[in-house]
Amino acid sequence: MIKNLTAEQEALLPVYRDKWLDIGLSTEPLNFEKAKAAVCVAYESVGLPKPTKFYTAKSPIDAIRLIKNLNPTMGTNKIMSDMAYGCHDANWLGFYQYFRDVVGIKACEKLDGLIDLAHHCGWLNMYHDTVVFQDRPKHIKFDDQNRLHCEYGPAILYRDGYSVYAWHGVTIPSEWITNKGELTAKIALTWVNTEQRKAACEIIGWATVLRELNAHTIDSDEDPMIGTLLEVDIPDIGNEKFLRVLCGTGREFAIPVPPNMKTALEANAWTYGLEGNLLRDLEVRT
Amino acid sequence: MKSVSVSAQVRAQVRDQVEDQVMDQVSAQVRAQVWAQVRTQVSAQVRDQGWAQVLDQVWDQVRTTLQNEIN
Repeated sequence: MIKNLTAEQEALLPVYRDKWLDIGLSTEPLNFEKAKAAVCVAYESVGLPKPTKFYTAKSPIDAIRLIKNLNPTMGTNKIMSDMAYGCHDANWLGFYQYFRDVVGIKACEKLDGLIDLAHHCGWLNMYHDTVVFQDRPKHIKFDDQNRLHCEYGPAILYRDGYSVYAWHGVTIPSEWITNKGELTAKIALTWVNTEQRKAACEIIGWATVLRELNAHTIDSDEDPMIGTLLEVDIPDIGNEKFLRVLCGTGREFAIPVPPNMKTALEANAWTYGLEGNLLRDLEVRT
Repeated sequence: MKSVSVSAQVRAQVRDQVEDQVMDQVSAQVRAQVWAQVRTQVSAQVRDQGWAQVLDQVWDQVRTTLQNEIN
C-alpha cells in the first residue's frame, strides 16, 4: 500500500494538472487518424472487436444529426446518453494518468486508449461496429475569473457554428449578444431566470437600467468621481444598492455594491477594497 | 449501423475497475491529495478557480444548450 508521495512525485502534481487542463480546453481540430488508433486500443482493453466504421462530426449537434441518418431508429436522448466525452473527460483521466505514470500503478494502463483519445478528439459515440468522433470547439473564451464569457460573440464556438453564449459563467440567449439593441431594460427586468436577468442588466448597463427603475438616492458625494449611492427594488430580487459614478473618461457606470454600504464614499472605496476615509486620504495625496 | 452503444463498457466499467485497483494499492490520504491537486486543484497556484470547475462548466454548458435546442 502506497501511503505517501515522494517529494519528486508531489512536484509533478501541478505538472499533470496543467497538462490536463490544456487537454480539456484544447481547441485543436480533431486528429482523426490518431483518434481512430486510440479508440481501437480502448475497445481492445475491454475485449471488444475493433470498430470498422468511423465518422466525424463538427459538433455535438452535428453528431446527433449524423447518427440519426445512420440509424433512423435512434432517438436524440438515447444518442446523447450514449456520448462519451473525449477531451472533456480530462479531469478524471488526468487523475489516473498520474497514478499510471508517476506512481506506477499498472492497472491504470487499462485506460491507455481513453487517455490517448482525450488528446485527439472532442466527444464521441461508440457502438459495436461504429464510432462517431466529434471535433473540439474552435474557441472557448473566459473572463478573468475563468468563467465562460464573451461580450461580442459565442463563449464556445464549434467549427460548424454551433455555439454557446455566456456572460460571466451564465448561459444566455444568443440574441442578447448578436442583437444587443433589441435587449431592453423591460425584457431584462422581467426575465424569469434571475441569474440571466442579472446578466441582461449587465449587458444593457446598470446605469441604463437604474434610470428606468426609479432608483432612490441614499447619498450623493459632491465629487462626481466618488458618485451617488442608489437603492432600487428589483422585481423578485429585492432591494439592491448601486454606486453610480463617472469614470476618468467621463462615462457613467453603475456598480452593484454590498447592502451595508451607507455612503457613496464608502461604496466607492469598497470597489478598491479600501475603507472610505482611506480613499479620501489617497485622493488628497494624489 | 448497429445501435448498441459500448460507451459504458469502454468508459465507465473500465474506470470502475481501475478505481478499485487504485483503492487497493494507494492509501485514501494519497488518493485525496492527488484528487485535490490534479482534479480539483484547490491550491491557489496558477489557476485560482480550479481547473475541474473550468472544464465542468464547458461540458455542462455545451450539454445544457444542446438539451435546450433539441427539446
